[in-house]
Amino acid sequence: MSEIRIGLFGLGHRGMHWLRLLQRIPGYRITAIGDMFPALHERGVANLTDPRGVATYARYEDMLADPNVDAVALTVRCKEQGAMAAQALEAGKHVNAEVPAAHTMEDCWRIVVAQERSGLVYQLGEQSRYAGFFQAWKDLVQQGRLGRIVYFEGEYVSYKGILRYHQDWDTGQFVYPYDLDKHPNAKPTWIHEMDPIHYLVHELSPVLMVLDDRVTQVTAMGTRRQSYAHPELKRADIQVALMKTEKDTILRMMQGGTQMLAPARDHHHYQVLGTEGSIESGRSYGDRHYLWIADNQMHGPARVDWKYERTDAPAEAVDSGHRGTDYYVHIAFRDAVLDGEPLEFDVYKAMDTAAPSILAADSIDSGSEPIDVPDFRPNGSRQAGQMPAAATA
Amino acid sequence: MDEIRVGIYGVGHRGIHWLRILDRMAGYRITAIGDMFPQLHERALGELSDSRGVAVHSNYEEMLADRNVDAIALCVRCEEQGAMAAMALEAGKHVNSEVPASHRMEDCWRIVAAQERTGLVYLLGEQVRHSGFITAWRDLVRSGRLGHVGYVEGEYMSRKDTRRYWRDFETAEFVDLKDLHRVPWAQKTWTHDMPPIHYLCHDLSAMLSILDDRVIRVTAMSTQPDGYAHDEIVRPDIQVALLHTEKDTIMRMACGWTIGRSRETRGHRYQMIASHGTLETGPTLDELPMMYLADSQMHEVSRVEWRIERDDAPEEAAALADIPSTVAGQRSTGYSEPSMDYFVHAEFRDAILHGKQPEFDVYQAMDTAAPAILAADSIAQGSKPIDVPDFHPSESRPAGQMPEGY
Repeated sequence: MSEIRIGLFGLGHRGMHWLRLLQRIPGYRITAIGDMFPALHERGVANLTDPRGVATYARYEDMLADPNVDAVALTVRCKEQGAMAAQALEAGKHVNAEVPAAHTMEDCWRIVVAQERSGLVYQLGEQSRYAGFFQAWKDLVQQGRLGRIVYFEGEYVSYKGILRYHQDWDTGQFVYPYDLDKHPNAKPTWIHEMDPIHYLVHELSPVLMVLDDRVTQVTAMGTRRQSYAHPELKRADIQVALMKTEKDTILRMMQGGTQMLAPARDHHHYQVLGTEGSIESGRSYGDRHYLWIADNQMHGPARVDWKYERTDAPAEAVDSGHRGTDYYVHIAFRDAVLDGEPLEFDVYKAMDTAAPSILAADSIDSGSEPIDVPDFRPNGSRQAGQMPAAATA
Repeated sequence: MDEIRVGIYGVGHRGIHWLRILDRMAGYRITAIGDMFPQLHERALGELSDSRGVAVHSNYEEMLADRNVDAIALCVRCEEQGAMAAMALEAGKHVNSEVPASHRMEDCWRIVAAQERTGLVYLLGEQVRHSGFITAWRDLVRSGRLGHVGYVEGEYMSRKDTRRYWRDFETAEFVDLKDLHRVPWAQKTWTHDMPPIHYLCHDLSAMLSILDDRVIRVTAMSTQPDGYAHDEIVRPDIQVALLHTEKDTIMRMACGWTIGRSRETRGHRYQMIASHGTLETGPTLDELPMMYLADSQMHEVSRVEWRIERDDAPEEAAALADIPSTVAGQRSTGYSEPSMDYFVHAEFRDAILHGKQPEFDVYQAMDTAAPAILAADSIAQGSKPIDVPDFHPSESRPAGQMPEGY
């Protein structure tokens, strides 16, 4: 195979971005596009440099049956997105999936098992792990310069307005709550219904990469499931999880999207504390990071000009999206499919980002009961390619 | 009564600091000092402006029996400090107690029941709630400028020295880790044995005072019992709690004193994220606190010159500014400043001498202790969530009685 014939399903904002990006990266040929909202097909087609021979699908199953599709770029945002990834693997397609990986534990297992059975490439298209500063943090942590890491916090707390919580099923367009009376076929979107804590993927992916670790236990709390900032939204303003990792680090992970924050406040904030040093990202965009290493003759924290952008980025990465990090997602997937390169971010690590988030929401439902997070790797009680006993019960 | 005859029990570093303050403040007369280590008595007496007639008690019970003592300034740090506060109330003494209020739930209840039965003044001498920036934040939050506060962060995380984990019971001096081989008979202190999360008093006191709220549920996690930072210190490096309040705020509180943080990084850090704004201390000591109000025509976060010091401190507080900040060459005040401590002792004084109801009452004091104790219990039970009781009298617990089960 010299190129990947790819079908892109989900033509929303992220889907359109992927569509444009995949046409710029050698090794990809778009052979199909699709969305459950046919009204969005036209803009998908309009963004193709050469739409000839590109199939268009409203039904996902039809795309999966297309023999001209080797791999699915799954850019949907819905409760079923994990099941849809598994479906594609089960249909013999490689999968590059937008985040989060899944919203149910059963779907996590289904993806793992389908990948193991098929040997196909499954990648979760999480890009933060490729950010320049995380590469630097990883080096420092894994070299032991900060001593033993005892605490790591990450958060995605932002204010993005109230547009994406309802969608008109006739046009596929998002609708403001105050315009709902003009759109009789508007329905709440998955963003509206989804617990915020499900969206920890950009936190857990890089943090676990830096630590080379996985979460073993989670407990969580959240405000009521009706926003105080926008009471018309039936969504918690903020949800917070504590997690314990296999290597005995405590993680504090947090998600919120409805509180009114300063525009320049970085949505993401990270802090790692070791016994011999610490690093913290700046609070606002453009703020430098704080670094302090105990055994390095430092009297106070250094302000380091680490950024999302990487200093070693090739020219084609620079404007690929998310400050140049999207490029690396698609290169890793391409090289895995075409050249058999092993994925650094494999299916097990992908589920290590999804399961703690799903179980954090379950913990909130149960009044903050702690929940053990399974290890998705094959072991004595689960052979590769088999669903675990609990998931099939 | 026109002055409070106070007995200071516990004349370690904080005790000496309190002694210096009480010796200068109007309305107080120190009539007794004491410590379980008699070796410390002389130093304390030497700090007094006039030590004539001041009784000295090694035995706490003897101080409680001293008729020349109206009130106890309790400056000990031990597992029994809550019980000791209750004992003083039960002996008919008013109590101003150093933090934390207690290390056991039973002692929390005992303090509450004793205060209710006696009507005496119990004050937890927590000072951060009186600081300038906390006072300003309280005004902003309570006036509704930030809307509903969804998330609060508080922490006491630092890289403290290794001096206070062992003590030579012969000299009463602390023994630093590096000197332990020279004093092999030194014994572990309560700081060594105490779960770090027990020390959330400053953070909970300040944040709950802003929110006018109390914690109803807690869950927590810890690193392993043996610290990673020092093989000899058998104490977790960090413990972290999630707490849910009655008004639906989620709090993340953390405590760790063997963390790799620079001295220039703030030990106590706070953050509030609300529906219509944010407040946050600067990460480092030289950075100003940050504020954003969504409905105030602010395009970005503002840096505000709020400080620990208050701009409305009376002259009486300013007069305490020359109090030395060290005892035997070691810093005695920690995060505290005399001007901030002033408000603690003024509140206690005014409650006793003028019958003024303390703003920080016994129930609010226990609201800072119980979540911390239960956070440690949660850790011991594998992070099980634990409900935090309301210490106010209720149908099931009339004032003055212990609740069922105690």
